[in-house]
Amino acid sequence: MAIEVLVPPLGQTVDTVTLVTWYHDEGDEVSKGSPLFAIETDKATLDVEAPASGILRQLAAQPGEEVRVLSAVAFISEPGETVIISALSPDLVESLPSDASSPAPASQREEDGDGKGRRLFISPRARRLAEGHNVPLTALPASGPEGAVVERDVRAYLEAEGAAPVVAAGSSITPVARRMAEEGGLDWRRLTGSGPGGRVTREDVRRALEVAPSAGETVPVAGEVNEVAETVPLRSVRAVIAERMARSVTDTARVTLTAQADATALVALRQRLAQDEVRVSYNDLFMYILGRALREHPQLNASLDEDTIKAWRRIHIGLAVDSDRGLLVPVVRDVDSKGLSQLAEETRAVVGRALTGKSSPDELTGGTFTLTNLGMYGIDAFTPIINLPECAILGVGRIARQPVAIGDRVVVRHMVWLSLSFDHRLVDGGPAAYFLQRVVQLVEGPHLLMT
Amino acid sequence: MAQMSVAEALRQAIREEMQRDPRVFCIGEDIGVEGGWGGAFTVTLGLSDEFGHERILDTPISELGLTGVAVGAAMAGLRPIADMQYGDFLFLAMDQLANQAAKMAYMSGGTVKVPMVMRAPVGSTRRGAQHAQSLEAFFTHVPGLKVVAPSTAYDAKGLLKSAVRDDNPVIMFEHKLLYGSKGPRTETGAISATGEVPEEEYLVPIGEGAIRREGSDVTIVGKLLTVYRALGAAEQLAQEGIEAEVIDPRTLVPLDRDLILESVRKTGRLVVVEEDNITGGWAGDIAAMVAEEAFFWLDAPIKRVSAPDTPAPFAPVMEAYYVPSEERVIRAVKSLF
Repeated sequence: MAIEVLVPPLGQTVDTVTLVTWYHDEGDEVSKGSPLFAIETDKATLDVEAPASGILRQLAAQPGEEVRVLSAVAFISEPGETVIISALSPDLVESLPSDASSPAPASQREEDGDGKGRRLFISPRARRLAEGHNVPLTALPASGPEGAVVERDVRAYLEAEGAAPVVAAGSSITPVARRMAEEGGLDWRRLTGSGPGGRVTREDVRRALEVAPSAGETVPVAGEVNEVAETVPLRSVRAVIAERMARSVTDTARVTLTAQADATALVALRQRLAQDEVRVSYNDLFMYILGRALREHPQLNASLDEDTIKAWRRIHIGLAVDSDRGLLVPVVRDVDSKGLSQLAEETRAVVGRALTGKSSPDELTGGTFTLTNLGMYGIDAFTPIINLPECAILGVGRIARQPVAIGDRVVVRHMVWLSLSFDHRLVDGGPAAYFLQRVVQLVEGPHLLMT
Repeated sequence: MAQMSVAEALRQAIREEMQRDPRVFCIGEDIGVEGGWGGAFTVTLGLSDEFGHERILDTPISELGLTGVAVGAAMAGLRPIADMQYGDFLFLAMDQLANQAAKMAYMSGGTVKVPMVMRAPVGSTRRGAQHAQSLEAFFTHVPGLKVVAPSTAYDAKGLLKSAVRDDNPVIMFEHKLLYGSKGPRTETGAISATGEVPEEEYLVPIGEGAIRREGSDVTIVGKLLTVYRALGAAEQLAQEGIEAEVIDPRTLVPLDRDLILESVRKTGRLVVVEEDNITGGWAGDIAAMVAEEAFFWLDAPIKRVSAPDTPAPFAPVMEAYYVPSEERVIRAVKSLF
């Protein structure tokens, strides 16, 4: 409990005194009985002792200031204690300097609980209006039912700020469209929305951006505007891909590690299996390797859910497939508990269904890691986008004969580039690198999978 | 134009349809008995004199039977207007309505139609729990049935004519306190829904709602009697600077959703008033629909003003507490600001 430091009474006729000086600064440790500050009347100067030991806090008067007798000019608190500003006497509150060391209520609110602040109660209508005008939600007063911020609060704020005429609450824009508009330097409020209730959609912004120059470019001379050759509205799979890719790139802290692996042994293994009538693809082999590596490195088999990292018990790997409808990622479940042949069979089945558009919705979700192979297109290394809510994705390039140095000799080996994109929010470079190292190790020495 | 009560307007509609189409007939309990009231609420008064007892068909007290006869007659090509003396008795006819009438067209691939109308009075009127229910919600929940609920004389006539001409089974709910019958069948606490009703031919389309009062601060949706509660509340609220928009959907299935959604997008607030128990009721369905379709236009939670989850009381004081009042509507609206 913080102790008030009071100005002592100095005789019956004295109402106010002048604070001459402080002997300690705010935050200093003071001991009971030692001089804390000096006060002066027209007759004498007097030292005032600290009433307790502890940390000096919230100096409420400056040297030279008049203070009332028996008013509190500071607090002495125990270390770690927070002093509440309202405990100060009303006389002093007005005289507090504006940049008071006492935390303002708003920031105090942010320190509540786990540091995330209080829940903000704001009606959907008000939120939409506020966000449409970039009004900071925490700056708004709340006059609605149950202490919620409502539309009139936002309007009042906007009018007080002298903002441009408030856009009618009926207009709005989807979050993705707003991002597109902002990136393109477009004022979306000028657009007519084609969505429900006049909402500005992705499509509206996309169309508008096609005819408008993006910020920074000079306006083309009349007659040079490019014509749209083909319009493909974002629908179903494409729309979902667009949304997910954009979200992944903006939400994740994506880092891509690349490493080259000597796949000669892997190529040989596959050929040997084929000789014994076991047909597996490179994807199957990589899946199998990933299953093992992820079991050993569970951090890469995790998801970030708001503020919790969830490490998944089971390993389900999605395989990126290019179908007519676009990119699909069918998932093979419990990869680490299946043998290579079983994996090959299941992968063939789910990929087949994905290519013919017959995947069940369950098959396309629930993955904990993704494998994407662009080798057949002749690609080496690339920067795959993480398939949220997963935390990492492995991109595999082409397996091609390359000259490499072994010792001092140059030999031709089958080499493959591996590109591991991971989300640095939950996985650090070290663990990600270890994981990739292990994958490389297993690629180069598939016999190790027997151990 | 004539001034008509709801009962008179319904009678006129029946008369006109029966004159127009010989396939139309009425069937129910006490609807044509000599010296009777013309049904419990005078709607069919005098019609048996005009059309005879073959077309104003009295039945024994057998709700399942009379409904079944109506279903069969409709399937065979007639256009019956069945009459349930009290809406509460509809439960006895549930199989014929929900399992037969509602599903016949669907199950027969459209080859069998059931163009019948079932009229039923609802509302609490000091007659006890089993004669007081508003059970629209049981029927709005059955796919295959159309459900209408006219609250004015104009709508009563127009909607009944539309219902007779509709090839689907239509349930028409009427409120006992809105009939406006005089003489021995005057209802205590009745509200005058009497109004101008054109004598010429007109129809009120099924599926179209009406805005009874325009406003910009809150949308209040009601049905039958509660439309009048809403209007009364709106008048009082206006004195305090709150302008309420009152919507009467008139048809419950198919619902004029756009009318309600447009209004909520304008006002940002919704109160739904029903004379029915709150749990699993009609108001909840409206609220869910609006929350789904217009969430981002809402400035406050959606409120339902309904009867509590108890049977309707018999004691007048308790009944007044049970049925949503103007005061409760006003309180609900104010809680949204």
